[in-house]
Amino acid sequence: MKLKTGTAALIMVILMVFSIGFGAYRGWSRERELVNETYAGLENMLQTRVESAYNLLTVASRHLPESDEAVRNVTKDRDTLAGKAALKTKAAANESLSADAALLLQKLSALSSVQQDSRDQMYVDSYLPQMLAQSEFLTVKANYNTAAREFNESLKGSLSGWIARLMGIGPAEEFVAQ
Amino acid sequence: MRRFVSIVAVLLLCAALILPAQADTQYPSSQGAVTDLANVLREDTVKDVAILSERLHNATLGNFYVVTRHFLGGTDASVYAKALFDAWNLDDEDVLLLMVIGEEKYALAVGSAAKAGLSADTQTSLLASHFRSHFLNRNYDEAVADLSAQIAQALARAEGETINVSGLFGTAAIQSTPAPATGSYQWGNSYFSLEDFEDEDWPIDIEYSSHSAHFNWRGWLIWGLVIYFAFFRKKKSYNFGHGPRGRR
Repeated sequence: MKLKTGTAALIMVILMVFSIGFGAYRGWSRERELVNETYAGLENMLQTRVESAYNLLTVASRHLPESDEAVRNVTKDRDTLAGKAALKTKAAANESLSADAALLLQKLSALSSVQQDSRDQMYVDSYLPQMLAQSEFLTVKANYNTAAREFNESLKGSLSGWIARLMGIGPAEEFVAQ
Repeated sequence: MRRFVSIVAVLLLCAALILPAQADTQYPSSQGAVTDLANVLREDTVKDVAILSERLHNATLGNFYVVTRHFLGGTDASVYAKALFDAWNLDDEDVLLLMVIGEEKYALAVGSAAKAGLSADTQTSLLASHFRSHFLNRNYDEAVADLSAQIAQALARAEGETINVSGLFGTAAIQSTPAPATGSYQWGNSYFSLEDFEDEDWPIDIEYSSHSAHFNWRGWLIWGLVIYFAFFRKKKSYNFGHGPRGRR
């Protein structure tokens, strides 16, 4: 059977469109999987935030009631970070934790019960602030943040990314509060 | 190129499979009979625990370990002590005492063979009478001295042996315990210190490297060849010795 040139060209164009679309989908899916793999690393980093919050609350529980506003705020941040919330929610909680923990530490530092306890004073003035700062640093520097940002920029800024978006590949969720 | 991409992909897959598993099993390395991560024990106490552990080993094959930490980041002390016991591959005759200074918690992990001399009731009784008050009063050296001697003797008794504790912990109960030192930071299921923070792989993050393989040059080359052969190649007609060319 002999195809007309026009028909052959049409078939070829259809095949090309399909192949380009399939290639873009497959390539960007794989790229997305790579980004997702780095998420486990971010989870590890967030775990250090959760642990820092736990430790702070352990010390706080010896000096302040659970109903204290500063304690409740840190508890809420910790629970959000440890739970199954969306990444944006966790990012917001992560930011809140820095502020709320600083406030709680400040409050604890001013308490006479802490000042009279050399161990807890050391925790409040030195150990816990440094632990919180380290965990914050680790979380900000997590590879997932870079990976997700780079992926989204590439997805938006390339022809294949545009095609992949048409085929349902969405941007990676970035670890940012807003 | 393909081989390189494949190797990178396999390595990334392995990392994804292995690294999270490591994250759950990262524990501090043992520093001998005493791993004083919170820096609350005096050198004398550390030495005496090591000597006692050696004597215990000669009598029962068991060893006694002491671990101190500031916090566990929300992990239960008993769970952590048992996990550490397993992570360090301690023997059935061994006993591990965990002291969590900042949380005011403690736990014993006892090997299956050691339970003959240290039943659950005996553990509770010894902790209540020879450890708890010292520990809560922050007399950590005294707490370790009192409990470790009692545990060693209980374990030896079960084997029909005796442990000589004379000369050990002589000054531990008299001198006051120093305040916990700063500078050592341990996460609950993880561990690193400020000093080796830069060198440690923990907490583990996972590297990201883009493959950028959405449209590679080989794909374009193949498509170029296909288009060329389909539309632009000059047609040739062959005549294999069947007479002159041309219309018949």
